[in-house]
Amino acid sequence: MSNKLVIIPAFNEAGCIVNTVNDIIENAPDFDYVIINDCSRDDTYKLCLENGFNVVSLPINSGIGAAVQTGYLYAKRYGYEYAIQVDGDGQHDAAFLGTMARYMEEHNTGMLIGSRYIEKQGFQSSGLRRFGIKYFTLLIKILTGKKITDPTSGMRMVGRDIIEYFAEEYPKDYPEPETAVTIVKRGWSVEEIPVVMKERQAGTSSISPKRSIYYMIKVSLACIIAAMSS
Amino acid sequence: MKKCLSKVLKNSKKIIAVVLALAVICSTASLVSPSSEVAAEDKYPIMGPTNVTLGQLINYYSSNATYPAYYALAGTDAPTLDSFCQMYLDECNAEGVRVEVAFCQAMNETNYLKYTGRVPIEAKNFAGIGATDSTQEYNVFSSVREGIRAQVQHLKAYASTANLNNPCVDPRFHLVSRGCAPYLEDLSGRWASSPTYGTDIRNNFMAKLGTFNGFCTMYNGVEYSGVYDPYFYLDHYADVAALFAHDGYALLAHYVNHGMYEGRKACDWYDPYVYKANYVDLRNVFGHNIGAYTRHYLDFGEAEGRTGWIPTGSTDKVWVLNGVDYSAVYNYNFYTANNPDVTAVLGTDDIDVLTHFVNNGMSEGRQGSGGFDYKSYMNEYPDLRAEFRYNTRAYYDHYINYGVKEGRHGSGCNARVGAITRVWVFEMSDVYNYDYYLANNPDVAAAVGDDDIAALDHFFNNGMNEGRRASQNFDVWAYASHNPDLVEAFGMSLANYYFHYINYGRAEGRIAV
Repeated sequence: MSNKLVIIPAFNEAGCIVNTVNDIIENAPDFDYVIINDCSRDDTYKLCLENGFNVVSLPINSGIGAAVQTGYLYAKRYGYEYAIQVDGDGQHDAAFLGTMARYMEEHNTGMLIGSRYIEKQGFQSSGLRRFGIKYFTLLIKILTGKKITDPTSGMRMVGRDIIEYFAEEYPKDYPEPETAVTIVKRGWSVEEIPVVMKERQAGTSSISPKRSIYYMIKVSLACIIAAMSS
Repeated sequence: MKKCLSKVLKNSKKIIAVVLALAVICSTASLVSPSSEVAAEDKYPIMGPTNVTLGQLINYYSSNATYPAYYALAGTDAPTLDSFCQMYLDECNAEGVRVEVAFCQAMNETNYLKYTGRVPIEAKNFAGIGATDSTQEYNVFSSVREGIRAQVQHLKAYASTANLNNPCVDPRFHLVSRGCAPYLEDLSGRWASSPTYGTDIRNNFMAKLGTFNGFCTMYNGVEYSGVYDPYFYLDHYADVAALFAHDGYALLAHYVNHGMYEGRKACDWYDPYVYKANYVDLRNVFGHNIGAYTRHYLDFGEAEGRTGWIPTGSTDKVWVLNGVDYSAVYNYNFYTANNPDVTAVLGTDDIDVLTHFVNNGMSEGRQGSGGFDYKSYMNEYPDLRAEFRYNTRAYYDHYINYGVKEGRHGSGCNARVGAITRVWVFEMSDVYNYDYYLANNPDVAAAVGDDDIAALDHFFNNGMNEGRRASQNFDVWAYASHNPDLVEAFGMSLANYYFHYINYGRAEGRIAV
């Protein structure tokens, strides 16, 4: 058993869940993984069982926040020292996991974010999304004084202390910018290293253009509340 | 006056003649002096590759004198003998001068750095540069390295016509007729007036260095004679003898850097394995790191009166591994008595047995002491079951880290107390009661026995979607029939009704039975 866990929340990811998991098994052999199947309506769960993947299946669709938090509970329960959430849509490259874990071990970092914007490589988001990301970078800088170039990156590795914290407290949806604020405010160290992300392999993004406005407002408020309450 | 003057002049002519005659005699004498009798092939070339090691220089010096404290106290660039010798190696190698020649010349000139002659130690002048028999002058150098460099460069001036590789710091370099003395023996009458200057250096200094077998017991300022006897080490390890028999410094270096950590015994009076077996407190800390025991003996053990010679017959067994104290859940005698398969495979070494317990035994749920049985611990505490479920190892760790302090019981509970109601992030108690679930679903009760974790898992993964009732307060069919708006939203996805009740319905006062 490894001391590093990959958490893979999956909701209707039948198109790429097998590739995502095999990528981790091949390119991040130092890691264990757990899939949190958030009551997918497609064949995600069936494919996991057929391939013998390690999967926790939730009986109802509970949302990304609850799925990821379940992953952190799993990490806490089984004593993992490091945990990282990797999206089930294959956007993250598993080869970076080892690099990130080594960085965390060497630098004793609380949370390490894989940033797409430190060095501009690989898939870059659309213009509107990039604007949103810059906006949150600015907002977080104002709230915490810390510059985080990629606050919406889902590729975030955390150590044992934050695993235990996330197992108890985790936002219901769009958690990335909000938790970054909370983690900085609670005095844990947050650092970024550059990663390259691929384009989505299949499935749909959880943030459609229509919901972007709701997203911006909701997450802004959440960040401000997180900054005030912690 | 003029007569007087001419007399003087006449006399001076005589004096000059006498001087000239003497000079001729002297030069003839020098032709038949012992040094020039030596044939070129028997003379020692000043230029060439170095034939001695750093260790040989250090040991040679140490066997003749103690390195003066001056060099450290005055804050010079060569505070230790090691650094001094290393400078000689560096400077000689830089100019292609043999280090044994330069080093032994310095030992001769300075009487092993005791500076019993006219040049004082502060001059950092190691070969009487600029000092003559007739004057009180001598050259002074700003650092030890500059002094050594000047000497080496001056030797190169005599022995070679090649250019210097380092910038010239020898103030008398230009005074030498380049290449006039390629051999050590040729320095006689040139570097110094003595006709046996070169042969003295060779016979009285270099010969000792060359044959010096270099056995020593001090390395990097640490005395190893408490655990190391070079003769014993050579005699018992042919592989080491083959490499280092000629160089006592390298021999000791091998012991300190390798042999010690390979558990090699290097003397009659200390055996690392005896030391290890004698002291359980050290085994708790060092485990199988055999070199650490010897290091401990040198640093503390010998002074504390511990012995690595006579077995004390200690039967104590370790209870600490990698800094974790397992005594709350582990006892060697209990573990070996109750797990004979472990000793059958691993033997009885106490560190190996504890390692097995830590790496495998706990995960396999093996009992390691009479005071702690994870099954009892799991039975008695539902809060821990909700947290750790079937992860047996976690119960041991919890007891060690928290349970003991919290006064929890490690044994004596043979049946489940209470029942868990939480799955992952979901608290199910509004719709789930263990006793009610089993009483109303006998097929589940038969399948899960008295395992509350399995019962809840069944409800969570299957029971809800099968519409099973698990609480007096909630019946999914009643909930659906009283709330047609939900039926429109959820249809036959029955689990959704349960969670809707937990999250909203109960608070909204919806009818659920």
